[in-house]
Amino acid sequence: MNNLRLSPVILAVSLAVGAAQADTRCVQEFLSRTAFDPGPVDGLWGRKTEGALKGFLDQVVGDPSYRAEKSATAEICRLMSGPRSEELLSAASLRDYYVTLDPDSYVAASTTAFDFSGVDVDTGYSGICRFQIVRILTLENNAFDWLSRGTVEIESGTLKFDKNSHEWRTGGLSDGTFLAKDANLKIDRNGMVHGRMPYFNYVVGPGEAARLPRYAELSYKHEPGEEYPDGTSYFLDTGSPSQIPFFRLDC
Amino acid sequence: MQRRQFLGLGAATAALAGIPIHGYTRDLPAGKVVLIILEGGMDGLTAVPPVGDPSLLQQRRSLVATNPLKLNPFFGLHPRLSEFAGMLALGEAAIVHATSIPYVRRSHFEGQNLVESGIRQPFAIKTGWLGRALDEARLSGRALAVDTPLVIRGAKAYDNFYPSSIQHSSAPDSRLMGLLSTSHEAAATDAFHKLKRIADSGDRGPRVRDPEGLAFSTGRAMRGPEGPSVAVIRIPEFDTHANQGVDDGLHPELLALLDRVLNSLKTGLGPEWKNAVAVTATEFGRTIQENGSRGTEHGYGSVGLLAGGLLGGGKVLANWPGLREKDLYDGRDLQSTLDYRSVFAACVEAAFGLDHDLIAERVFMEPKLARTHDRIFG
Repeated sequence: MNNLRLSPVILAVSLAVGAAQADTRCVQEFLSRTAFDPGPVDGLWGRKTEGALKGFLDQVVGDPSYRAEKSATAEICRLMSGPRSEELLSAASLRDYYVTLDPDSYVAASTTAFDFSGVDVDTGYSGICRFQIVRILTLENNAFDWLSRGTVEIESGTLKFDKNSHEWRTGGLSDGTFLAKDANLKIDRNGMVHGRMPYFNYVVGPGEAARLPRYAELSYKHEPGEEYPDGTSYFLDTGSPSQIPFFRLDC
Repeated sequence: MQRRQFLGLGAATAALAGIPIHGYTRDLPAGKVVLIILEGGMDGLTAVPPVGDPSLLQQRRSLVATNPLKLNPFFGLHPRLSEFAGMLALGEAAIVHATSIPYVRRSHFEGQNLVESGIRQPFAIKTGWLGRALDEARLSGRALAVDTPLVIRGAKAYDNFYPSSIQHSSAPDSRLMGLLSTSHEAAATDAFHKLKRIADSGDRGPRVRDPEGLAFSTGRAMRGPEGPSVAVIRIPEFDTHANQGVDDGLHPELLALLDRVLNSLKTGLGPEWKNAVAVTATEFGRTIQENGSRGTEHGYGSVGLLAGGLLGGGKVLANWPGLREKDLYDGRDLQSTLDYRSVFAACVEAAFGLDHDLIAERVFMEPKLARTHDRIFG
């Protein structure tokens, strides 16, 4: 008797479970043909299926009345097998993985011209920066190329070059020793880099006579109306209008 | 490898085309396309490692950078692409992963041809997809194909910047240059005067040494509605069969070079950046596993990087195929789940405003090419 009384309940429960599983499977089957991977098509509702369905609904369907829940699978299955099926399949062929880098912190960390204004150099700004000495080719539509690059340590407002941490590309005598020994660059109270430094501007090929560097002042010079890459502010005053190397810090 | 040696190996070239000529161009193009060809087959799984895929470390632990930048829970970015990361953070860059041109053999020669021709059959056609797109945008006939190879030989050699072919001519034509320069204004006139000067002088002209310097001057030349609509920059040497490098070495140096090229292009384009898209292309990816000489062999699926103000939000787009053995193409390569020409087509649609069906049919000869414009640029 007990069995007879219980069986419709068992039947109803198993039918409901069966229906829910079929709906889940229907959703999984559809998703498995898209970029939203639901995992194995087994009719079992799990985190992977839920995550894939949520992505699909957010990025492709865009209708908040559909929710990524097990109880909604019957309705979603109808949507997936309805007249919009092909259109949804096509739209779901790619998935967006949104970039979550924080623009503020990221861009600040990767800025190319470090602004020292506001830095209290008396208390000693310390850090390792990358530097480049770049030449603007005035005849070539302001194209530029680098003459030297490497790293520089900034300690209490003084730029300390290590002879092994940078290189020159100009040949001749242009090794790392000159900057390490002869440069005398400081960041002043206003955050400006200035001082005397050697630089090599001639390319010396193999077999040609070696050349010594010239010495120039690094100063803040910005001619009104002139435009330079990256808005760089530190120029080497070489006294030559056709040679405008600039010194670029990246901290 | 020292940077000096590396630069000694590298050679980059650029070409500009689609320069509108006054009185002939019906509609000025809305935007600019810069195609950056990464020759040799870039390792997309090194550039943009899917750090959230549990098979990544099983398959290629020795090829994953120590500290990839975390773009989102699933994808990372090689740390040498830091400028590009900044563009992603600002929403002016995008990545498309697990993608390739429809080419599954492993020949550079054929693959590079298809990257440029944009069809399925190598060497079956004498035009390229960008040229055909310019045609459809009614910039053809007025397009000046200035092929300007640029050799970078490092500190000890001289580099050249010269027009080597104008409308199928192998030598620069001073008279044509003069003619063209009078039919243009502003920056384009300067560019033509410069080219004429080079053609006249017969010498090797001004020197630009670095690919980034080249990218800067390319961007500068493209500024304004009179500037060329299209530029092509080549970065060779991605064929890393041996000593590929993980954090440092050849491949990371090449990624850093690409990073600087993108940054210089942005600087060079200036205000034009907002109307531009730069898109990378490579003939194939590389095998998922390292070979016996710490390199990788020719593969299939790779990654495409896009940057420029036309893009609408930083994201990685993919139909990720997985990296388990059964997911791989031929049991050894990242599967491609998207015909990369769909990405080219989206760039053409975004920059020139052409209809996708027309682009698919007339530019790529593939009427059923998927439309990805809204997903990439939307």
